[in-house]
Amino acid sequence: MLKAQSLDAGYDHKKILNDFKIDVSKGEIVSIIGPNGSGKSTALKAMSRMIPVQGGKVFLDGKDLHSLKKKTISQMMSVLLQANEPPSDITVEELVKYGRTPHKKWYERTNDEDLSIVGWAIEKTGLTPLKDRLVSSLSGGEGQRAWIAMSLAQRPKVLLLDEPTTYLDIAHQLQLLELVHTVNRDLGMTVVMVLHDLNQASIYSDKICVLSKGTIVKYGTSEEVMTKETIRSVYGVECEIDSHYQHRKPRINLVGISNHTLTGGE
Amino acid sequence: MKVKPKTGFRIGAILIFLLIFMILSIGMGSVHLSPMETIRTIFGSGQEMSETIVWDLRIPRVLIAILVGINLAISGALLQAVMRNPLADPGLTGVSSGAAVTVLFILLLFPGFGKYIPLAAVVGGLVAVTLVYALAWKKNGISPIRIILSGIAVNAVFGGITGLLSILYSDRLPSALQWLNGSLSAKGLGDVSLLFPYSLIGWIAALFCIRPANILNLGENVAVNLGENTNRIRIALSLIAVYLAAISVSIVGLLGFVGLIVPHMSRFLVGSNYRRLLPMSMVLGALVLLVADTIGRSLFSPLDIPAGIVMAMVGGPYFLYLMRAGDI
Ligand SMILES: Nc1ncnc2c1ncn2[C@@H]1O[C@H](COP(=O)(O)OP(=O)(O)O)[C@@H](O)[C@H]1O
Ligand SMILES: [Mg+2]
Repeated sequence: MLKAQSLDAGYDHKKILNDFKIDVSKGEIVSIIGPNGSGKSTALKAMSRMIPVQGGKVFLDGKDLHSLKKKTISQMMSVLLQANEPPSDITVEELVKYGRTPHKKWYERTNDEDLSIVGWAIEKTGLTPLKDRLVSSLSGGEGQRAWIAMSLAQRPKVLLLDEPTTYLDIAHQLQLLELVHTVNRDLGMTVVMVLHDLNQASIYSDKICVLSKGTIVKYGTSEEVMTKETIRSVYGVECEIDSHYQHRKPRINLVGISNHTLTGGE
Repeated sequence: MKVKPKTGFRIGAILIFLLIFMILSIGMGSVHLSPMETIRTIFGSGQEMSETIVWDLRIPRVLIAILVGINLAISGALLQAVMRNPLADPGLTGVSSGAAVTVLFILLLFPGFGKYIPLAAVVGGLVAVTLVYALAWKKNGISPIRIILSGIAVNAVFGGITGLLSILYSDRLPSALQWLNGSLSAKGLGDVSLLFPYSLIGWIAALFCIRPANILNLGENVAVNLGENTNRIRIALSLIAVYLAAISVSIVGLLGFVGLIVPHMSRFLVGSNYRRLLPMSMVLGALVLLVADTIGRSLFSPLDIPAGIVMAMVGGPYFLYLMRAGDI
């Protein structure tokens, strides 16, 4: 569904992302993890035409992203990056309505179908009581959910999320991940997201992509990726790994900072 | 906090203010007419002398103020959408000074080619804005802060050329001086019928900018995510803004601050959604410039202070107020 073929990307002439390749099948959830500054956001931006690629190609549903119209891409794929700043006087519902834009011709107005999708997105993100509030007056987490509702209203086939759980309290983190899981299951939405919590990544993803210094270190199922060695070499952290009693996925228990990171390396 | 003011009502209220002020303004001057006399005269049942004054002098002037006020306000509102910056206006981006150079060029060197002045103004404005964007362009787009910096540079250059032209042709300057200061005096119905169709085209084009402007307001990444070609939108909005500013400059000269103040006040009154902001800017732009011109011609009557000077005297402090209020 979404395929990155040897992507190189960065800012100006600086190259951040090297030879990034993943192949996400329809209906999969893929998490990208890695330390701060390892290029996770850059990878999402490169796959979603937010920054130009310096090399390689992106395929969306088998078609080269460059050969697709901007509007067509936006009907198929939605990307939510970090740090969005809405106009100061826009309400939650107004913001979410913009998610319908890709499906409208310039002369078309919002119709009943749009309204019901907007209502659905607002309800799914738990924002119904807040739908008339100004986005700028919401807490970080509530604001984040409003943007996610906008992406959901877009009804994309592929959803890219950059740290969607940041700013959320634990309950809302889990709610959000459950929501991702639900839209993935019920609508067959393919999801690629950047996560920080290793256990959440382990539980909620079909595949995990581990980035370090702009390069993929590992890409595979939780079982393949979540090993003591990988976590030590990528994060410089010691951990024990057992199996989650409920999800039967690797569970990562952090123990401490690896010794060698204190003396050498990064 | 539920903020949904009765915005339609507010736009209507400003429109009524505008109509009332039009009647008052038409009545004001060396020959004073009461509002009733003014209305009678407009509808053809007044005295013959007041009819001449009203139709030949005052109505054209009032209409020009309204047209130019609308044009400059839209121009500012669109440029602000393009740059996501409340400081953007036709003056800042060099559009006005670019248009002024080409117009002055014709006024001073080829006075016989007066009818090409609007065209020349649009060309000058386009050259200016192209320069600004070319300077601001970086590999993957145009950033607001670079546009503003380039605007300052381009403005300085065109300001210099204007100064140079005025010194080289100082003997012919008086005719151009009124114009340079943004004066609405000595306008006839001919000017109105010249400006109106051009303006109307720009207004209609501006209506199509409402949706794109709103989407730009969500931020670059979000706009791209929603499938918009943001650079193309920016270019289209800029072209319409330049066009509206340039045709206005060609008739009334350098008239600053309307494009800065009016959209700001409108945003305060109806919010940042262009569906309401644009109509509000139009009626408020008309009202603000009409008030400025009426003050200018009546305060030190019989002296006629150009509206551009009144706007600068009010606009400067307003600008400082904006800065102190932390809006910029
Ligand atoms: N807009 C930008 N311009 C220049 N460099 C950037 C920009 N955004 C990120 N970088 C650099 O790219 C590297 C990777 O950043 P990013 O992809 O945001 O990391 P992550 O999301 O994994 O924390 C960092 O070194 C960062 O400094
Ligand atoms: Mg990031």
